[in-house]
Amino acid sequence: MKVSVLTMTLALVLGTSWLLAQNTQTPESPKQVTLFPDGYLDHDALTIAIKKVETEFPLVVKVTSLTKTLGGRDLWLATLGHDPKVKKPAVLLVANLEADHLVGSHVALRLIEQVAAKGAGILDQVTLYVIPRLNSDGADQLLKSKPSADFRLNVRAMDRDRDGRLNEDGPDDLDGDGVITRMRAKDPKASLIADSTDPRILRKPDVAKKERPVYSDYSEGIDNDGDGQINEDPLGGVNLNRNFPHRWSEYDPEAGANPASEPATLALMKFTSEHPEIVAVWTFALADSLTTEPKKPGSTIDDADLPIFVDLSKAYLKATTKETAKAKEATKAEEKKEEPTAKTGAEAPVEKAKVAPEGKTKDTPKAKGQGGGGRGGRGPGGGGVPQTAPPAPASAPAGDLNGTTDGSLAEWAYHQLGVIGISSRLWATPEIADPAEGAAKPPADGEARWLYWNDKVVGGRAFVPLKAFDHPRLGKVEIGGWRPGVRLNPPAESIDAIAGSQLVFLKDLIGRLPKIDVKDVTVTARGAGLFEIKATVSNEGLLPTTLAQGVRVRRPGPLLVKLELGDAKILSGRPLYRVDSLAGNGGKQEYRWLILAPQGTKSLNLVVSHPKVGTTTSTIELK
Amino acid sequence: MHLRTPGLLLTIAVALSAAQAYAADTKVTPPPKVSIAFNRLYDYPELVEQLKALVAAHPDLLTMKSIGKSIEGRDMWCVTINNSKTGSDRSKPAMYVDGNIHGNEVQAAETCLYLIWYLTENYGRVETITKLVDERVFYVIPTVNPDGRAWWFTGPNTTNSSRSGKSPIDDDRDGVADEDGYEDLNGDGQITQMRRKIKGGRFKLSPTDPRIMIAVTKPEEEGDYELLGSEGIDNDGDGQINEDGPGGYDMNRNWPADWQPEHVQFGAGDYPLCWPETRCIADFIRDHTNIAGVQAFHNAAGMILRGPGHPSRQADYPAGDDRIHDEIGKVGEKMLPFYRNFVTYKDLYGVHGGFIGWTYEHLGIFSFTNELWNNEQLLGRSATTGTTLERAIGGGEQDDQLFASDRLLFGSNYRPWKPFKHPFYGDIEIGGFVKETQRVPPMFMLEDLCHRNAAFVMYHADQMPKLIWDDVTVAKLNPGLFTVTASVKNIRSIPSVAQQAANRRIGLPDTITIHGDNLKVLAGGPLANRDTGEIDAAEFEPATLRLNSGVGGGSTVRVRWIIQGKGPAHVRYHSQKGGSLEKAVLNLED
Repeated sequence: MKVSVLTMTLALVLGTSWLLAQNTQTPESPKQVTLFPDGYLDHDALTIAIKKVETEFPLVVKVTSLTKTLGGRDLWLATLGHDPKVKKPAVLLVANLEADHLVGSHVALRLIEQVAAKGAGILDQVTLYVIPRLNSDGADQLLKSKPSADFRLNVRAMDRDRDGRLNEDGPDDLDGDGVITRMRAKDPKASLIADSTDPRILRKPDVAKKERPVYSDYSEGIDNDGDGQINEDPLGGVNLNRNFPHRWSEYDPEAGANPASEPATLALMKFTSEHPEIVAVWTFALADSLTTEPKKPGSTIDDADLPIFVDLSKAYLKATTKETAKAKEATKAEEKKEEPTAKTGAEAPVEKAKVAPEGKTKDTPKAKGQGGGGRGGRGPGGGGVPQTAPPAPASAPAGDLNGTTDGSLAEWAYHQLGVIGISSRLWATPEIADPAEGAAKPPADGEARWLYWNDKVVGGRAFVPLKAFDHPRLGKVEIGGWRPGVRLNPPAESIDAIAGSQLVFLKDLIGRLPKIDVKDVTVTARGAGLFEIKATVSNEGLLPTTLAQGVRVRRPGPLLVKLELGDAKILSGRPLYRVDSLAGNGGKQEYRWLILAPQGTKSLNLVVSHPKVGTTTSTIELK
Repeated sequence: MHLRTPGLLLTIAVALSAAQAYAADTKVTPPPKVSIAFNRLYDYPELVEQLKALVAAHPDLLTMKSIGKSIEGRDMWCVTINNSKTGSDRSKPAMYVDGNIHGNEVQAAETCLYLIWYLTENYGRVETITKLVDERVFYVIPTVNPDGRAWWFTGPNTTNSSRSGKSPIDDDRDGVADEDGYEDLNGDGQITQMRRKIKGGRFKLSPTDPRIMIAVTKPEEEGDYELLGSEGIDNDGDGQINEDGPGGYDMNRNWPADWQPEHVQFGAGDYPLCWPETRCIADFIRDHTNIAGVQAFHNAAGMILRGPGHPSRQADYPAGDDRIHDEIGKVGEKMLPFYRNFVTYKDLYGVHGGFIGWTYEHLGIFSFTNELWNNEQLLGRSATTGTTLERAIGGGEQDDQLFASDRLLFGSNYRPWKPFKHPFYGDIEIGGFVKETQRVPPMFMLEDLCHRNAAFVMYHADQMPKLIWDDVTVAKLNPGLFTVTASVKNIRSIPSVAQQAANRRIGLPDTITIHGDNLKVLAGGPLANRDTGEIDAAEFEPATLRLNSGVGGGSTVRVRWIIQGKGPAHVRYHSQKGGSLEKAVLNLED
């Protein structure tokens, strides 16, 4: 009912015949698909959810706060499977670097829950560090602000228009519908036209077809500060995923005043400095690094490391393809497995898919905030070149679907920490069931596919139809567009399946980690207290002990091969060997010492240690 | 009687002249409120004590506060020199001065101390100083690296060591940090050199002075000594000596402009501003947007350095700003006879992530680093040759340095070689220059160094923008319709907005505003042509005009408004780095 009323309004406004055709369509299924933000948790609800896991599995999960964010919220870190007595590698998982990428937080929460409940297979091999929501201030801004508005950055106060006032000209809910959408105006600055197949789509005119620009695209609002610009100083500060030091965008306020300028990113970088055991950093962020295999010359991955990343990409695609079908089965199987555990009472299973009650995330916000149009920033390849032109005002399309890699955590992790750095978007395209035989196929990609999804799958609830409005400066405009976050975050019921396939990949990744083995230890007595010792140190894992990039940046310390001599003396060989890296899949190195041991010396220790992989101590009997 | 009177008179006359002489003396060199000897170095606690004594003696001009804590928990003291009677510190152009970011570059702190002492002691005595203190603000952080400073004084060090802060770094990558530093083997309180007599060594003793080692150059020649490095042992048993001392990084490579990771730039740290010392200073400087000049003190070699630190940054040094830097540096060369006016990357070496690179490139502040002291000064020779640090601090040949040590310092700069039984090397000799040499001037020359460099800071501070109203006039166009023309002049050489700041949108643009209760500003803009009266009219907000480039050095900016109404008008010029001007003079009437 609601849908048809809205569509009618739109039809009246635009008066185009295709809309009437739309009106004859009905949603395919009577069961309505949940639409973001329904089912998504705000900071407080997320806090309760992760603390609950900690309470249920206190021996496995420890939840700590790394710092307070600008908005005073705790930056939660869940540590799973840490054992102070055992040196083992760690995987760091960070989600919600961009405020509007909430799906990452929820997938991270599922992973915490599932690994906590049945950690074997993962936690005996690694420590898992999970930061489910790096940008909790921004996420709450997106989830709770009224009117609802796109928001990608953190909440650092900014003066983008350099007029001495902070965040004084953000968008305004002109049509009073409770949501900030887009505003199109026919003005002299026009650079776009409405697509003839679907006028909801704005695109660049095709000059070859003699098309001329008609519209300018603004975020909904007025010129609050009277400087002639509309919405040029909205709330919203730094994009946390552009605030890391690799290819950091200097002079762009959205990248921060300096790398690590924000409390959350600083705390995270400090954490990585204090935890050299981290072998991989996996971010859930808008830029996808695994869904296409990296290739030269585009990729900046070291030649020697490239095959590793290609393999990871293959593994990821294998784990996530046909996500829905496969993962649903996986989840079902997991549920079955869980039941007996629950019955024996050894460990209570985690409550499945906890979804916040309807309206939970729509509490009245404490502060009346203006929604900020999060600018996407420059794509890969933009860094390093001095930017001479001043940054454009923040008028780029809000809810930009593109992620960035310049200054991102994953890129920094690889290029400067020298570890596996990867990033997953988790949901890039809407699920649309195959049409009935003979019916037209849905558009394969782009805006058209999203609009098809809006019209046919979610019953028109994702896109607010365009409506005429009389704007004080621009005159007659049309206001409408995508609801905040709906194209970045899947319906809440998809999250379990997505998490299921990420867990498959996580296990695959962990199965590749380097493993140090000391073998072929031989001792030959040469008489008069003289012994020859030989030992081979090998790497039985798939990954090298240190990536080529790690060797280059020298951040991960070398593999150390050390003979603990006691009173014995080395006559040949060195007391300590530093090995930059042992190749994966059986890479090895032989060592040989001649030692002179005092009478009665029974044994020596050979200690092989690596800051990431761990320590192996072998006792060498002298006989 | 007749005879005695003159005697009495004579006595009185003598007494009088003695009293007069005493009075005259105090007039020429009045005793300071705070006596500080500038012929010695102050370790960290003494330095803080001197700062506190100065603040206590000059409460009207000085305040000090700790802006953070070092790695080892020492306070980062910042002294503000401001006459609050002429305005709050933030209302005036400010000169930021620091030193000793490299812990061993110690006299940088004494130079800062001298600057504070000189400005406050001469306030009210020397007119130029009084004026400077009334018009400008100075923020002074004498030691950016208090841990490194403390360790240089108290720990086993050479003139080159204790450069780093004290966060442990595993320099030799053996899994243990800071486990193999120097040892004062002979217990003489100095880390000097070790040499060993050995057949086929690379060195021989100078025939004129056996303290001097001469390298063997000819292939057929055979030396009889080898150099074994600085005093110490192999603490960690890896066969190397002194390879993992305290710290092991460089805080002057940790700043956000052109920061590069460790494998590109040694000492950079894990990410920009990763240490508490650099971070709290960055926060302080960014918070004080009135800072218009930066001076950092280092040692040594006698250089006035400015950016770029690396050739790749040339695009961030627009010609207009560079010319002003150069002009100030040239004046500095005259004030500092042994110093050369240099561009870091061209004349010294390439640096990524340096401090003054950041303050200029990212913050648009005119910035210099002075490398204090050049050994050539000891013998009164000017440093005309040599462009690298190594040549400059080794200035003069060893025999000249020893001559100066023997004749001017009575041997105190040098420890004669003495035999020592080394646990690893066996019979060796230990001796050489002490740590208070080479990079550090002899104490009798310290005050001269402090004064000349403090004077350079004062010159730079004086060249910060100084804005005055050039003229503000009213003309009637029609009844009830006026033009107001205002012009602001900068009577110093530094612009109120650096070209770099204007290009990169750093900080706020200058603004000029007109306001009156009964006035309506119809139009306004910079006066494009004084003769035709043409203005570049602002499309919006004509009452507040934004001047992105501010007022250039020695230049005048003119704006004109067209105003309707009657009554008083108030004009205000505001500049983050040039201060504010107010004028409530005009009365618009027919």
